[in-house]
Amino acid sequence: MEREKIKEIVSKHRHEKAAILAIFHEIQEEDKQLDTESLNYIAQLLKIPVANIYGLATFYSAFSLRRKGNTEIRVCAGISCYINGSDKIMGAMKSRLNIEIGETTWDEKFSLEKVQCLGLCSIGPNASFNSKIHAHLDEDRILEILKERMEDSE
Amino acid sequence: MKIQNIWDLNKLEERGIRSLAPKRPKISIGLSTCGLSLGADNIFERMNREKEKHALKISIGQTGCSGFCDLEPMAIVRMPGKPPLLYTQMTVKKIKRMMQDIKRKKITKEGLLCKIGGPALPGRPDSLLNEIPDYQEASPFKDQHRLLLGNCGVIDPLSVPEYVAMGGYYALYKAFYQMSPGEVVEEVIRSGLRGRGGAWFPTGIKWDMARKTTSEEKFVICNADEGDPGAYKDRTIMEGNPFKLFEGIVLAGYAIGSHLGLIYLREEYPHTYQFLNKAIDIAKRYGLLGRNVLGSNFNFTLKVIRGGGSYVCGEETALMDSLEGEVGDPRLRPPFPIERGLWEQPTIVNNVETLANIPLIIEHGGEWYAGIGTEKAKGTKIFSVIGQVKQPGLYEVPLGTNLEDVIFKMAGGPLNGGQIKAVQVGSPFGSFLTREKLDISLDPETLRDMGSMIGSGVIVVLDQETCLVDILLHTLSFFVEESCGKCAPCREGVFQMKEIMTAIYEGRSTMKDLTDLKDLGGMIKDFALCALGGGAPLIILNGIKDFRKDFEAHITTGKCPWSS
Repeated sequence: MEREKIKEIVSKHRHEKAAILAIFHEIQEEDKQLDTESLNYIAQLLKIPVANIYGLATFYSAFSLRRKGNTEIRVCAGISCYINGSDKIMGAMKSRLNIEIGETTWDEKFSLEKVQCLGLCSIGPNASFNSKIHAHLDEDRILEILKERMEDSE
Repeated sequence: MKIQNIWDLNKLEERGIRSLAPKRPKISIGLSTCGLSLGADNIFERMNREKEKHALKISIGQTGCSGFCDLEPMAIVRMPGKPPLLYTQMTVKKIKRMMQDIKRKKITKEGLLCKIGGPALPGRPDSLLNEIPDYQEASPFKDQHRLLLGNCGVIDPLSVPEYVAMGGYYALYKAFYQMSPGEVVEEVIRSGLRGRGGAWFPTGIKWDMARKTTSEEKFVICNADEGDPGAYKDRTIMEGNPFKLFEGIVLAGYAIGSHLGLIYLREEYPHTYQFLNKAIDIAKRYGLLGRNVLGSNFNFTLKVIRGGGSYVCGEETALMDSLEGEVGDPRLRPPFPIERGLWEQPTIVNNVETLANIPLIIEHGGEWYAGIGTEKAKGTKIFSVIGQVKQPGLYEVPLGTNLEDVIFKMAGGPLNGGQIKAVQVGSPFGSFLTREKLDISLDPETLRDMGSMIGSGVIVVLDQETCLVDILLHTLSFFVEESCGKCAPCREGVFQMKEIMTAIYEGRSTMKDLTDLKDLGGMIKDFALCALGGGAPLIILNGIKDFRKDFEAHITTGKCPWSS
């Protein structure tokens, strides 16, 4: 991300290290990643060691050092969704997108994540496509949703 | 309008009543995360278009989640002179027909679940209305004791007047003008309320210790890092009745002498984050947060902080690390947060459900509250009943309610007429119980005496078609992924347990592996630093004891007998 933009976000949070999660969230929402360059610059602005910042960015599963897709697909792996076949949903996504969990497609359009419960346990299996959550999924349904998304992004 | 005194509050109550019993028909759609994921946003939009197109004299509003997401999108219909009617599983088509019916002053039957209580309203008695069951008698609300969830899915969650009309903010008023902070704490002690996040520590005792510390600065943290897979009670409270939670948080602040509250919200609830921020802005406008709350000289700031997707941050010391901008590593206790918490200052950390109980306790008194529940566990508890049951959802019942009653009478028993094989109370750490062990009282002591735990109240029901080794392995994978890595017993030990369990599941193991699991599990249980590592082996060890046949079947046949 551009340095100016990072500076703006860090200033908004008054250069407070306590706000690091909020800073990460805001940068990633825009840039879809926390790349090394951004992390270095944040460390510099907050006057803390790069190792520390790097440790934080890798500890929290919400953040990614590699660019996520324009559409982030998160398949729920909570116990209820699992009982109802969430691994099949995940399997369908992996093979259709030809990526593993935590990866992004070559064209940076989609990335795939596993999420530990979206909190919609009586209508699973669930998956979210960015902020939109889809419930009552099966393999056919999620492939259909993916197809619509692919057509939209053409 | 800022509420300055009791008259303002009364005026607001009247406004709320007018909004809950409007002169012109009103349809409210459930717009919580679950409703939205089932197309409620689309219905909402189409309703508005329909209204405009036909110039209908119908108001359109929103409501929250009732805890039964599979019945969403829900709609509440309010017609003059009639009790509110609750509809389930709405679609655009159904709602369009309903709007036409309302125009003709007709009650739609399709999708109608129940009417929502209250005394008989004046006007012509409607024969259909007599036939419709009341909220209290209609499944799935039947037999519940919805002290916390009663208003969820009924009122507009962003309407302060409607919350006040339901009795909201009178507890805070009472505390500010009639009670000292010490008396508030006394009342909470008397109620016997214990932490609903899973630790079940007496809330009043915690508050009392925090109140008696002399620090200038103290903090109230609301733990909304609802990470137990299968739990969504906190989300339902936050999205269904946020002001009740806020009222509880401000009461906590007043009781211990804190002026800053932080809601630590899990990252997996993006909609809830936006929603809570909206609700905080509204509460500020009414003078229910900020300077001079309710016209008193008490100031209180409330903020929502988003987590980073780490389960261990639900543990209170790790949570505070996270709030300080650190990696979430559980700290050794003591010192406890009430002595040295956030930024080394006295801090209380309470779960969402715990805090939502506070206004009730202050309004009705601790003694009243202590009359609900068992001798040692007071009040109601929200249980998230999920898995292979007919009607999954949130069931709020007094502590001490029989587990079989909850599963069979309320949740309708096993799905597709199957047989129950195992039930896990207190998922993910609670042990799986066999069918014979379900005739028990749902309270922390009973579950503890059985060598398990009640946790945050997730109840997973599994039928005969389920492989216990598979489910246990899935749970173990969760623990491995969420281990923070600080202590070796958890980081390495639980990982090794998972390796052995994988070998068993895949049929490449011997009976010796069961002994190894037991030895390893026993060591981890004794030496892990926090409850995550210490709790992980328990479920496996109890699983081997009670479902040995499942394990043996994998070992002897060399495959999973349940996988097709």
